[in-house]
Amino acid sequence: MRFRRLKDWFDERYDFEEIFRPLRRKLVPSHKYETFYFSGGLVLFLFVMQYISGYALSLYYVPHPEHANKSVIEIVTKLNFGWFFRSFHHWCAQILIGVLFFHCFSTLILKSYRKPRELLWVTGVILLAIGIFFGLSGYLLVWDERAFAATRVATGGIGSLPIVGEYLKAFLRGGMDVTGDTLIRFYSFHVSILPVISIFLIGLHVILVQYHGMSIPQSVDPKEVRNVPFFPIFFYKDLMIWLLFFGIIVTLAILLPPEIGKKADPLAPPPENIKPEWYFLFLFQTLKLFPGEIFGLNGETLAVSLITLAILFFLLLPFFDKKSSRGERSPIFTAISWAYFLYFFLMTILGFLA
Amino acid sequence: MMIIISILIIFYPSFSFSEEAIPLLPERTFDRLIIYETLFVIWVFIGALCVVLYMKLKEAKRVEDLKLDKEEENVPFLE
Repeated sequence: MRFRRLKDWFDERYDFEEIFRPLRRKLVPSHKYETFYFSGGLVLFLFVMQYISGYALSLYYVPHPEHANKSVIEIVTKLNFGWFFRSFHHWCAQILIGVLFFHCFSTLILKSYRKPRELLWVTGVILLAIGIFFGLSGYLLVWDERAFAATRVATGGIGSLPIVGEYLKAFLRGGMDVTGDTLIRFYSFHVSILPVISIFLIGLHVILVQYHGMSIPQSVDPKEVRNVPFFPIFFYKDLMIWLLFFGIIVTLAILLPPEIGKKADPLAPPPENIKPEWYFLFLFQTLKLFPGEIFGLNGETLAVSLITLAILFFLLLPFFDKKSSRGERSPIFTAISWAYFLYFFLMTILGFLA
Repeated sequence: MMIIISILIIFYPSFSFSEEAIPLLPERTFDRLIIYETLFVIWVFIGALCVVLYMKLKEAKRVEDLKLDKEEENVPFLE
């Protein structure tokens, strides 16, 4: 009875039928590449999982160089299910970044970025960058030797950028070197700045997807496409995939909990065989390819500059691919898309094996 | 499943690669057994939910194919 009165109260004020009508009428094209559509919904689900597990961890984490490592150990050893939330957060982050890359490369190769979806692509690439920065900032929060050394390497690489590099490095580190200030800065990025920006961008990205609808690849014959309602057909499939991924993350969290090293000591030598997280391996491997000096120029500066240019080109790719925008085939950009994907894939494997 | 759980319980310490050997899971064998049992139950639950969703999906597709969800056009209003 009480719920009925509550429902009536809302019904008198808001026309829910009208509000949810666009969702009920939403159609999704069904064709041979429709599997790739599910990666977007999966990213959204994993982001929500990350926010929930992250909020739980932030209740007990202490962002101070003296207590950070100890607080993580206490979360894992003393709190009920603390070990699970930390491990879940870690594995969910790994899979989220993997699915983000998959979503991004599938969009690139299927040319879903073409007119009129340029802004969708730009917001998506920025979200990928934010996802990676989430990973980098979260990695340091454990405040152990390995995280400390890896952050020093990652932020040091940014410093090699010409002109703005040193400023960016100092901004990220909160000083000249990685210190307790860097920890507080990364904590602030991880729990307040990046979540706000990511929520805004995810919202914008979802609104733009609703506005433009799903992109149909150029190679698909429009006659073969059948529109199916999002509710309930597509939504049920989405739910099944979310459930499967939830199960995989829970399994990994239980069977392979992430390690916690010794508390970071800025004066101690870095541990041997320092490797960045897997999503930085392709950059790490690229830097290794360049010699110390090329034509009198610093090799690392040249490498970081070229990587930055490649990332900028990647971000602005829809604006260069004019043929796709006109609905024509553009084999050059197909080759470029595959080159980006293969380079990332092979360099990551090489970095892993090195 | 029981064999896998037994192997995990027996060899778990070798999976832990922390230098200070910080226990990353509850240490008592009984607690670990409960955790692996819960994991098994979670997978059973996920499997059951997927079956239910699959059945609902099949029904939704049937309704869609028969066009039962569409309103018939030019239906006269009844007073």
